[in-house]
Formats: sequence, C-alpha cells, structure tokens
Amino acid sequence: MKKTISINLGGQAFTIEEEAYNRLRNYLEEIKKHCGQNADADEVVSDIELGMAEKFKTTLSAYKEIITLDDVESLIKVMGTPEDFDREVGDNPKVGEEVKEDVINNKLVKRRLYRDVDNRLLGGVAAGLGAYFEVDPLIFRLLFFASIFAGGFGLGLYLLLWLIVPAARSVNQKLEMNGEAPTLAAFERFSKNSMAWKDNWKKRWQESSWIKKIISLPFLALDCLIMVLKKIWSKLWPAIRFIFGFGFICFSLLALGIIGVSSLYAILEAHSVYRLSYVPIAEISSSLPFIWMLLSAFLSLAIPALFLLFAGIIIVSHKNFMRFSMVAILISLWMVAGIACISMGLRYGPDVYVRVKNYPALQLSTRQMQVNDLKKINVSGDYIRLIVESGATSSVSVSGRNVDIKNVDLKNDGDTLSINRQRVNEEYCLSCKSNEVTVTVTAPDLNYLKINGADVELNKITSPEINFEVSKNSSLNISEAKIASSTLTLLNGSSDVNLDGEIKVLTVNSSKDTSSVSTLSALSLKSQNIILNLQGSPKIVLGNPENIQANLSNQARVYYGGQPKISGDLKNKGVMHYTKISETEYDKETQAASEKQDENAGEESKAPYRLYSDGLNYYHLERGQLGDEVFSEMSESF
Amino acid sequence: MDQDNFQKSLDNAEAQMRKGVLEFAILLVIAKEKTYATEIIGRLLEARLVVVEGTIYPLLSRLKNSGLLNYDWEESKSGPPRKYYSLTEKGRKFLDGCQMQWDSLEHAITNLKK
Repeated sequence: MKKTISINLGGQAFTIEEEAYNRLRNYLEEIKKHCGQNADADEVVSDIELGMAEKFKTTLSAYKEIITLDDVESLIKVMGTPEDFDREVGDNPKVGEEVKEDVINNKLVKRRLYRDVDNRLLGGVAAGLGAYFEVDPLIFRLLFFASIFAGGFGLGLYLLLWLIVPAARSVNQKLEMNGEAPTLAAFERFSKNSMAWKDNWKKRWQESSWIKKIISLPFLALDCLIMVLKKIWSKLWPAIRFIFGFGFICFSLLALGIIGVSSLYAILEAHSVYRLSYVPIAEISSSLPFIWMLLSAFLSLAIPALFLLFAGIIIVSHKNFMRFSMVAILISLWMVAGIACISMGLRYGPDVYVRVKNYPALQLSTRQMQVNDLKKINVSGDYIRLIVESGATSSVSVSGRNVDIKNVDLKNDGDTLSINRQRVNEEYCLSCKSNEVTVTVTAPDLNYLKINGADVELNKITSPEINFEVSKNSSLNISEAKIASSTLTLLNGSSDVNLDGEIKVLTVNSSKDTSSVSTLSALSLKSQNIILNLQGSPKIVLGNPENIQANLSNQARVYYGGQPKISGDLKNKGVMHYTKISETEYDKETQAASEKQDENAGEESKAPYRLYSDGLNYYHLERGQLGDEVFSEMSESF
Repeated sequence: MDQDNFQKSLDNAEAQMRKGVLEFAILLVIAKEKTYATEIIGRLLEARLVVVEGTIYPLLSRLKNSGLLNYDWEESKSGPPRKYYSLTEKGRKFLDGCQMQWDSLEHAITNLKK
C-alpha cells in the first residue's frame, strides 16, 4: 500500500504515488533552476509538463490508473536531465561545478533517525544510528553486543529501537537518514542503489574488511535462512489460502443448506404431529409469535454463515466485492435478529418448556389389563421390555409415555397374551424418539414365551415347565429361576440369553439358519441335564452341569466348566466339524468363565474345559495343556 | 588516457556540430507543416539529431522568443491541448538564410573532401 497524490500536470489531473511525485517535482525544479539563465524558464517547464502529461496519458489505462516511480523514472530517462540538455544544446558548459554546489547544499538538511535496511545486519538499527551520527555502525554493533553481557540491557534496547524506529524504505527517507537534500542527483544515486537483497549483500561483502566479514557472517546466514523460509512460505501460502477459502465455502454452504431446509421444514410442518416432534409445534406456539421467532433465529444463524461464505469467496478469488453499506446492513440486521431471538427466547422459552413437559402425549402413565389364567405370551417389537414376576394371579400392566403406550398393541385371546409394538412412521420426524414401554406380567401358569425383538426379564419364577422361543435381536434374562424343565429355541438373529438359578433339564435348540448367531450364557445355572441340539452358529457358555448331551453341527461352539458326563449324538457326525477359535478369544472366554467360577465360593473351581468335536470324538483340553504344539497338531489331524 | 581524451574531443566535436544544426532542423520540420512538440521530437529522434526529448523544449522557447516561431493552442483527442508551432515571416526568412548557409557550408566541405 502506498500513499498517492492527485496532481495537475499540464492542465490534466493525475493520480501519482507520493514517491513518484517527489521525484517528478524535483526533476521539474531542477529543470527550472537550469533554465533560470534562459528567458522563459516557466514556459519551458510548462511545455515539458505538457509533454510529460501527454506521455503519461498514453501509459495509463483503465487497469493502470496510477503513475508509479518506475513510470516517472523511465519518462525522465526519455526526457533527459538538464546535464543532457547542456550536452546537446550547449548553453551551460559548467556542469561539474553545479553538481558540486548541490553537494554543499545537501549538508544543510536536517537528519532523521531511520533504520538503515540497506546496510543492516539484523534490523538495521546500528546502521541507522551510524548514519545518523556519521560514524561507522560497527561501533554501535559492538556496543549492543557488549551490553548483552551486561544484563541484556542492550538486547532490550535494540528490540525496542527496532520496533519504534521506522525503516528507511523510500528514497526520500534514505536521503533524510543521510541528511541529504532531495536533489535530482541524490535521487538518481539512490534509485540506482536500490538493489535486490542478494546483490546488496554481495556488494557489501566485497566492500567490507575481513573483520566485518567475520562479524556479518552469522547474520548473513540468518538472513539467508529467513529468506528461504519466506520463499517457502510464499509458495505454500496460496495453497493454504485456497484450502482455507474452499473449506470456508463448503462449510458455510452446508450450514446455509441445513439452516434453510430446517427453517422451511419448521414453517411447512409446524402443524403436523409427527413431523417435528411428538408435540405439535403449532398447538404449543399458538400464543407465540412463532414466525417471528423462526425468522429471527434464521437470520441470526444464516448471516454469520453468509459472512463465512463471502470470506471464503474473497480468500479464494482474491477480490473484495464487499461494500461497506452491504456489510453494515448485514451486521445491523444480524444484531437486531440476534437481540430479538434472545429476548423472545428468554421471554417464551420457559413457557414453551413447561408446555412441552406437560404435554399429555409425553406424560408417563400406567395401564392395567384384565387377564385370566395366562399361559402363553407372544411379545414382539423394539423398545419394549417385558418383566415377568411371580404372583398368585395373572395380571398385566403397561407403563411408559402416553405416546409410546399408544403404539403398544395388547391382545388377550384365551390363555394367550400378545404384546406387539407398532413402529410409528418416524421417517420424516425430526426429533421424534421412541422410549421404552415396560410391560409387567404376573402369570403363575406361564409355560410358553415367544420373544421377537423385545427385552424380557423373568424374576424369581417357579414353574414345572416353561418353553422359550427367541428370535430377532432379543434379550432374555432369567434370574433366580426354579424350573423343572425348559426348552429354549434360538431362531434367527443375534439374541442374548442369560440364565441364572436352577433349571433341572434344559434343552437348547438352535435353527440351521446361518444368521443365527445368538449367545447363551449360563455360567452359574444349576442343571442336571443339558441337551444341546445346535445348528447354525450359536455360542453356548455353560457353568457346571452334571450331564451334557451335545449334538453340534455347523459353527456351533460350546464352552463348559466342571466335569460333566458328555455324550453326543453321532448321527450328525457327517456335518459336525471342528471350529478353530483364536487363542485370544479362547483365553478371554475361559478367563471370564473362571472368574465367574471363583466368585461362586464353595464350588470346586477348576479351569474350564473346552469342548470341541471333529465329528468322531469329543476332545476336552485343560487350559494348561493347550500348548501351541498340541493345538496345531490336532488341527492338522482333522 | 590518450584514448579517453581522443574520445572526449570527438564527442565534443560531434556535439558542437549537432548544436549548430539543431535549430535549423527544428525550423525545417515546422516549415513543412504546423506541428507540435512531440511530433517535432519524433522527427528529430528519427533523424538521430537528439537523444533526450527534453532538449527540444528550451530551444522551442528560445526560437519563439526570438520571434521566429508562433504557436496556437489546439485541442487534442487524447490528453491535454497542444501547442501547434508555425513559422513567422521572420522565421521563414531566417530559415532561408540558414538554407543558404548550409548549402555553402556543404559546398565548402565537399570541396575540401575532394
């Protein structure tokens, strides 16, 4: 950025850089002085001004509106100095003397302190001081260096001066620094002097003595390093700028999209029940300035996003198209919207919160149902929890939010209870969220439970026989049970079954479906006979049963502890095969099992065995025995 | 050193000759048609009689003050108005005189060169 000046040259208006203006003014004054002896000096100067104006007009265009120092320099070269005039016209042969006069005049100009960046080692402070006091800067350098050891005072002073004292960058400043008058000759000397960074160092290096060379060497190295870093930065900067700008644009467009779509959605769907929320906004907000709140919220979010978008475009395109008026309007609009949004939020927010909280559909309630002699339960659906408790008579109660209970379908058909949760059409609902509904059942004669995707708990149930059928991603937890006989059928899906208590005879069947990856965990279950008819790929973990009859096939895995009697139905030997379980998985599971066993104090805690079958024999390996060699040997033999 | 001096003398002689004919050359250009400074400069640059353009302005001013030239302001399509110079009666006579002097000078030199 440079300061420009408007000038009148030959009756034409020009915009010219300050430095260029000074140069031009000096040139014209020099000519005037030179022509002083001639008749009409003013006329000659104004003629020259006219000629220059005409030339400048041809160099300027819509894309170049300002006259720079370079323009002036090149035009002066074309026009020639008064010395050139003399050589060509020969009115004033005493050229040399005049120059000498100039030099004498120069000394009268007052010096100013600048940092001499042309002769700098670090910041040019010492060089500037040297120029100011007309002594070798080396003196100041040594003083600064010496005072670093005197408590670092010099360093602080140096940095302070570096900050405060301006650098001599323009020719005018350089002349002032050296106390020279801004004459044409001085200008020319300095404009020739302004060299590239590299040439400047080269010249100074050649000119300086060996002691100065040694002193300046580390600074030269430092300067080189800084230059290299600057160059790298200047290469990297466009890429970084582009990434930032592009990121801004993408982010802001995304934000604007989200803000816009959700605002539109809020306006269009405010009246429907299941679009925004279970609570109809329109009903809640009937007494509120809903549209105004929405508008102010929209503006207070969208305007910053818009600014971010503009910032991104400006960064990428390098063109500032923002007008002050536009920025001012947007910012004031944003402030008004923000204030309105906050104040309306404070005014109506608590009110709305209370209304939503007290909205009937969201209240918790409990519904009772009359049932007699319940024997069978079918339960299906997500977000449903069935708790079966011991009790003398049959009863059913449902509790949850009204909106959730509404979707639970209870059907009592003879001795069968069907519990079914409908899925609400929530596809387009922004903030609808189903909550769990709890169904609590007491049924002394319960003997069949079919679970399809629900969570079921059986607490302290005593029964001669209960059979289970589990499918989909259900969960079945039986705790403190006392059941004589039970058949558990695992169908498709990855259900989770936990058994605890006592089941004298437990039969587990699993379907052949390959998607059946259910887990049954019965580590602390007391059991006499466990009959496993496993297909598909279930995982069964048993604690300490007395007898196991296992018919395994496909990918079925069984882990067990204790020392049960094992028998197997070998009719399936053709399809049964050994499944390799990774060492870590084995460790993890056996460890968990042994920990569980340790907890059961009094019981003989032995490391569990792993049962696997190749279809001909059952092998059980004790944990300690399962070395890598044994393992691989066995793998090979299959 | 000798070489330097020689070059200097040669330059000086050239400059002297150039100076002698410069006014004559300007008058010749203007005699053809009414014209302005930039165009005069252009013609002289072409003829390699001047090196820097600024030289012409003091000369034009002096010729005008001597009553050999006259000028009118004329608008230009691009840029500032221009001073269009033309010869006065006196200027025309002066040019005729110059012409005769040049011819005789040329004659003299040609004869000397034989």
